[in-house]
Amino acid sequence: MAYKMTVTGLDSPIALNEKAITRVVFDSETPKDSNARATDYGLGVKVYGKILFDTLGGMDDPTIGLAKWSQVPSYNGDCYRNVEINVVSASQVVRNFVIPQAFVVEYNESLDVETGVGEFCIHIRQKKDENEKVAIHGGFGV
Amino acid sequence: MFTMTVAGADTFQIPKECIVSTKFITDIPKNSDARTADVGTTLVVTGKILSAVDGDPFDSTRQMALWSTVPAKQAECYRSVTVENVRGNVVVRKYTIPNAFVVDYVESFGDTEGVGTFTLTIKQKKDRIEHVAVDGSYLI
Repeated sequence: MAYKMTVTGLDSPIALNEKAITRVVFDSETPKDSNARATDYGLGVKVYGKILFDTLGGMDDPTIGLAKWSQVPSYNGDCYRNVEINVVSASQVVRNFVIPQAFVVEYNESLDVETGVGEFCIHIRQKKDENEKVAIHGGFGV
Repeated sequence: MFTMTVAGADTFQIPKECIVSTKFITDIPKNSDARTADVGTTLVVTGKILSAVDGDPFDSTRQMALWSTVPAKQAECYRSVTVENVRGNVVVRKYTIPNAFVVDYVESFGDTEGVGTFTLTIKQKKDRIEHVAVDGSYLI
C-alpha cells in the first residue's frame, strides 16, 4: 500500500507519503446507541506514521507541520484545512478521501531512545455541519 | 539523544543519559463538532535517575522533584521548558513550553533495577497556549 496525504491551508502545504505513513483509518463516527439512523455523525480519519529525519538536514519534516496545525487556535481560520488522502495499490487508487474543512481532534507524537524514529498519530474530522462536502472516491487508475 | 532545560528561578538541565522517551500531546475534546477553543498542550518525559560516580555531574533529576512541590501562590511554579531530540546531527524536535507547570511527577525505585525512574508530566498554562513552539528538522 502506498499513501499520499496533502494538507492545504494558508501556509505551504503539508505533504506526507508512504515513507512516513504506516496506517490510515477512516471512521464514520456514528452514535452506537441509536435506534435509527442518527443525524449526528462525524466523518474522521486517523493517520498513524513515523517522524523521519534527513541526516543532511535538507528535508523539511512534514510532521512538524501537523504538530503546528494541532496548536492553531479556533479564532484563526487556518485551523480548518483541506485534507486529501490517497491509498494506492497496484497502480489503482483504492481510496481518495477529500475532507475540505478538516480540524484536528487528536494529535500526539512519541520519541524514545529505543526506536530509531519517532511515531505520530493525528485524528482529523470534517466540520460537522458541512459533512456533505466530504468526498470518497476510488477504484480508478493512478 | 534528548536534552531538557528547565529555566526559571534556578535553571537546571536533565542530561542526555537520563531521558528515555518523550510524548507530546495536543489535548482537544474528542466530542467537538468544530474546532474547539479549549486546546491544551501536554509533554510527558520519562527517564532514569542516575547516581553520580567518578566525578560525574550531580544528579539533576532531584530539581524536578523540587519543582513539583512548588505551591501555586509562588511564581516559580511556572517555568520555561525546552526539550530537544537529536539524531544523526539533526534536531528532529525542539519543544518550547515557556509557561509550563507540573501536573504529575512520579519517581520509582526498586531493589532490582539499579537505577530509579521518573515520569514528569507538564502542561503549558492554557491561556498562553499560542506561545508553545514545535521546531525541528535542522542540523545542529
